[in-house]
Amino acid sequence: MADTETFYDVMRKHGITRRSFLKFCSLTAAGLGLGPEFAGRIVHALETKPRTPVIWLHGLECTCCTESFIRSGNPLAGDVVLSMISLDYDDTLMAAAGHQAEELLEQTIEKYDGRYILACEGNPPLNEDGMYCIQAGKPYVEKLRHMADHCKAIIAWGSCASWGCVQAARPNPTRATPIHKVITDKPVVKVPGCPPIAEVMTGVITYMIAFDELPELDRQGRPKMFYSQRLHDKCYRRPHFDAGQFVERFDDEGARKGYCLYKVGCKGPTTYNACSTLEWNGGLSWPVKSGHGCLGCAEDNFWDKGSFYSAVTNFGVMGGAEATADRVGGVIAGAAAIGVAAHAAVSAVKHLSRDKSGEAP
Amino acid sequence: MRPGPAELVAGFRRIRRERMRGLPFVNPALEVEAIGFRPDGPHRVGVLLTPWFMNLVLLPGDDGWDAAAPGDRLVHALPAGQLEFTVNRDEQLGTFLSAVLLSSVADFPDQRSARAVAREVVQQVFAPPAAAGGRPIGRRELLTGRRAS
Repeated sequence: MADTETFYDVMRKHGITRRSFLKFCSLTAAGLGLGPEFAGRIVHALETKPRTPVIWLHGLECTCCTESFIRSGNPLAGDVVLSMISLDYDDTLMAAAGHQAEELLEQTIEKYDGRYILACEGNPPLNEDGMYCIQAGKPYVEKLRHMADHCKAIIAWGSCASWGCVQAARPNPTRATPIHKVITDKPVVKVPGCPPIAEVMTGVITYMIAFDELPELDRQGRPKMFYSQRLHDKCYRRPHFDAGQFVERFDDEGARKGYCLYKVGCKGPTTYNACSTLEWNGGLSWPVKSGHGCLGCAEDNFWDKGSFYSAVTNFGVMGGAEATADRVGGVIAGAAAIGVAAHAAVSAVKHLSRDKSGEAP
Repeated sequence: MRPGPAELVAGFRRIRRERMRGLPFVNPALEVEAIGFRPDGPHRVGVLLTPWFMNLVLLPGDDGWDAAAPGDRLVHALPAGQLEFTVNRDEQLGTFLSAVLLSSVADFPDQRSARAVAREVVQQVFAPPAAAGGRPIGRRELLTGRRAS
């Protein structure tokens, strides 16, 4: 019976061994920053809970999110997660095509009404009644609304779905619009980045299907476990910033010595993402490590914030999860200072701690 | 002779004068100050406040970290838990470890308010995690290693 099938059943059917399954669970727990005891909870949930279908829609996008996801640094994570999600509907990955594919959507609604996760890559263009993105003879925005009506929660993959990205850059001719501005009656988890880091994507989706709840989100709707810190704060070149050692021009002496890329436009000081800790391609490298500044691709409206090569002048609070700690300076002058200082200090120290299990579900 | 907090302050005052002139993220209301440094085994731990950052700093008491590459991350146990530090290497100050406490110090209106946060940080760092949460650890929690929420 499809309804009582668990994730574990599905994985076994796809030839994933129990050993691999257990390894995946502990990798995921570690990737989520949870203590080792949570691996057991993930195992239990995937073994016993009925499988939550994931429908993966594509609007205006370049498929870089999918490319990142299927090249997850740990191939095991990719295999496992793909065996869980690719069954239902994903334009890029599924075998079905044409009418047969579109029928799958209706079948999912019929069988899993209110219980499936809608993963959206890209966004809908709203100008000309949505005519700039047509799928199966209809504007994409209609398909999105229809599928969102019956889903449990939405994951907005990448900067397109989360903020709009390049297709929404000025003058945004098609009126490309992020998911949360089109679907307002369902919870939306934003996983920005162009693309997001593969481990972040597998982590978020596994968390949602294993624990059957949304990860803790910041005020902008991003999972705190991956988006609560600025790249700058965990950058391995940070000591050079602190010491005033900057690359003045690409390929100068400072560049060869691995100095801070701030002056050549690095957006690390204002970008919330996990690149400086998780890195890319299985922890191999990331933009700053390859000698180029961060473009700030996980931040809202990053295409329209001026040149990629001009230095950030305002390090002020951009509304991220750290806002309380960041903003403390502005409100601390009065008599309440000590309480506020204590709060800022607690969150600052907590950020340094390796053990995040206290924040787990 | 390994540098102490006074040398650290002198070194960063020089950086402020020589390299940080005119940079937009420098907060003119703040000055370089070493706050709350105290011993941690052979090492010393405290907060280094400058007009452009507030870091927790570990000054080594031995040469244990000299082999680490600058930019490497090391985990160091303090009463508050396993904290992650980055290796710094300066021509004059040698090797020391730092961990960023706040993304920006641009919003502090004055030295006094920044110092208050720094002092509190030092307290938190030397308080066991249970006390940092404002509640003593129970026997059951102690035995199971889990904290009730």
